Amino acid sequence: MSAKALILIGGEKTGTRFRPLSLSTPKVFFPIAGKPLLTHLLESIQATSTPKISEVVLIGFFDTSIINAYIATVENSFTFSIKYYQEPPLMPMGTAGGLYYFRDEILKPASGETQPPEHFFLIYADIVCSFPLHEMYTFANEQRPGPAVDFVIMGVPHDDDLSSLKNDPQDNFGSIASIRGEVVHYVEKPETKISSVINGGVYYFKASILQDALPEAKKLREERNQANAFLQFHKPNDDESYSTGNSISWERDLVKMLADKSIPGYRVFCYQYTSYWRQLKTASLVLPANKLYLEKRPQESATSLENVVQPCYIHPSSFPIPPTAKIGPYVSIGANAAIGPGVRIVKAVIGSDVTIGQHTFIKNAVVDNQVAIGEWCRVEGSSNGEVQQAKEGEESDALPTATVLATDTKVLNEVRVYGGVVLPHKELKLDVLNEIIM
Amino acid sequence: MKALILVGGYGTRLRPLTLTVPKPLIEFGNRPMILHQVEALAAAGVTDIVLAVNYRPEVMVATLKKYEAEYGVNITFSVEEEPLGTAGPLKLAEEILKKDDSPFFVLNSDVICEYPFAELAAFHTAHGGAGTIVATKVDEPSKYGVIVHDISTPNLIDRFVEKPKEFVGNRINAGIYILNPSVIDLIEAKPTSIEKETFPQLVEKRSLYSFDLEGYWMDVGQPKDFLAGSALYLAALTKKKSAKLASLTEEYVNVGNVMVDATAKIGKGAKIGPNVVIGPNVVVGEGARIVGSVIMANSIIKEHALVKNTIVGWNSEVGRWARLEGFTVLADDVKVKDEIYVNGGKVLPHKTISANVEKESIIM
Repeated sequence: MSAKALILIGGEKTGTRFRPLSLSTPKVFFPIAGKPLLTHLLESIQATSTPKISEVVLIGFFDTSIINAYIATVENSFTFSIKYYQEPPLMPMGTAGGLYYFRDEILKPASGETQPPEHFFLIYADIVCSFPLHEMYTFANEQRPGPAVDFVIMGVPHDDDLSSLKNDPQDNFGSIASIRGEVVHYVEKPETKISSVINGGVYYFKASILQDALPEAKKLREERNQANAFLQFHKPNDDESYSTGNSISWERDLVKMLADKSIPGYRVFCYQYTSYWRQLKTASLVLPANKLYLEKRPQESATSLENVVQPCYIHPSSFPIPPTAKIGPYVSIGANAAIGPGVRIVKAVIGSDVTIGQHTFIKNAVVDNQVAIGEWCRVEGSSNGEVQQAKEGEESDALPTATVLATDTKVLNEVRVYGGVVLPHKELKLDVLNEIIM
Repeated sequence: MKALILVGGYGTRLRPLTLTVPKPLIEFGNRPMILHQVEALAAAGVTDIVLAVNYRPEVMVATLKKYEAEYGVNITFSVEEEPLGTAGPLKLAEEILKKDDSPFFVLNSDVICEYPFAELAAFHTAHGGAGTIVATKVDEPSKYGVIVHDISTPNLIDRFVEKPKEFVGNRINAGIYILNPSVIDLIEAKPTSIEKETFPQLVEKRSLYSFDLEGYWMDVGQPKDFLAGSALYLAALTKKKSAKLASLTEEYVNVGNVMVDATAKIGKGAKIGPNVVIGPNVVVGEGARIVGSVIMANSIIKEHALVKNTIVGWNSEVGRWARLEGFTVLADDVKVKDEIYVNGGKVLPHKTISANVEKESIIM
């Protein structure tokens, strides 16, 4: 009754909206609440008692050395084995391309096991949530009339217009229509509202899905491509999951075909997840992701310093924090940070080896590794949609647009950076106001 | 000798500061603006000063009574029933200005400079004309009325050219004059402009001269110019090695041109300057940064705040890690909460600012 977790981690060509942070660190390794994003997911997998997940497979197209270096640093913390399957250049593209290409490997017994895995989870690595893997498994296998459930999508109910999840009007989510839990219709990124349940990017399924349904979907896709070869249809530009040519999309092809019974014989259900959820699309979304994980996954090393307002994560090597500085809430600080006297940091993610000069103020900002900020600077994210003169004590819920300082940015004394995005290795001598500095 | 200071009305250009303090009493370099002028006039031997005002608040009367005694001068208020322009007030104050044959000074209350009244009087007597205009040189004369001199007679004004498109000179009217009592006879008892109606008549008579001003000059009637003028004033004090300035050996002084009232308290690690005036009883917190700004009496700048190109009015409070810049003006009794950013905000009295002000705006 063993299980494997399959994690789609993307590659250099995906995650472009996470620039400039992804120029130096793959999105899945960006530290959120003191840990690489992917490590949070692996911890959730570790904490899943049933089914027992004996192997985690990372699928993507990053260089093997980058991923193996990460695996080497974390694998001792986990009881499961971690493998990386790098998608070769000539394989089918699309979100399901790697799964299709490596399906035989994935279906083999995990190392040290004799039986092939029966249960699978597929998870997008840029999802921030509690990963209810045990709950989805239990939901799939509970008693209900009719044949067994083969496939479960984690649905995130959302009543409003999703604006609180969106950082960009381009953001769209897959839309799930279900009747008594059974998915009857699925549309990836619809332009109009189909239902109030969106696809949460976490799936449970049985071996037959990889073994039979996915090859079937691939075949159907090829047939349809041939039939539609002369048709040009609307294709969003930056849509990574879109399927063209030799590619196959997990959502647009497999999930849609299963739901509308183009591929008959599988029961597809939607597990209604009601806790916190976000997708880390843009660099700005580092801040809400950081806030959620600091709240929901408190770190053991939380200090009880008077001038640190919890929740915060501060790497042990970044102490001492001067008594005149004030940190938090919702601040993560990486290794070897030098925080000057009188510094104020709130709602920010600070990378490693960052220097912050005395009396500087940082709010709603993502500060990458090796950034040096001078004295009396103000680095602040803009607050989109926030009413200029909010009433006393009120703070807007609108998502701030983080100010992002990429690796090795230098901010000179007394400079103010407001709402800007700064690419690596730049020196800022003058104030920056809602600008991208190339 | 006698002098007339054109004070005018409500000083609306310098709002919100002038909502609670009459413009002549607003501190410039920690002393009321009018006092700089009264002092310079008294030093040049002036005994009678007329303040031409549209309204006469009690606090202004009381303050000037004090100066009367202090400087041994008679100060009279000449109150206009209706605005009389820049020449009308001379006619209204005729009785005093014409009480003897000596020439009298006229000055605009918004103008700051080194007030060379004694040299001006000597120059005026020497050329023998009816009037002398103090002229200052500017870089961009196209925005002003420019003085053009006679070719043969030195300093004699030949004509004025309003906002010249081609360069005809760069001397402009600095808003300070010395005139013979006879000039008043050219003015009718109605709203009139001295620049547009009286001076052209003197030019016609070849009786108006100009006197070149040395040093700085600024019309400080608006907040931005008030700060620029303060910087000029401080720089002039530095040049004179004035003891009014904070010593460069003070740990908190950065670069220089810093004036700190003796009753102000400066916290450890604060960095102040250049071009800063700090008023009485001001408290500057540890690690605060102040540059290009004026902090009026009894205000508090809390720890780690940055105040740049800003006027902080009286009894105000700037919170920790707040940042004020972009010619922000806080009026009397304003509170800016911790961590707030204000850029170019004009904040009316008794307001609390608890959200960022990103763009130039008026906080009612």
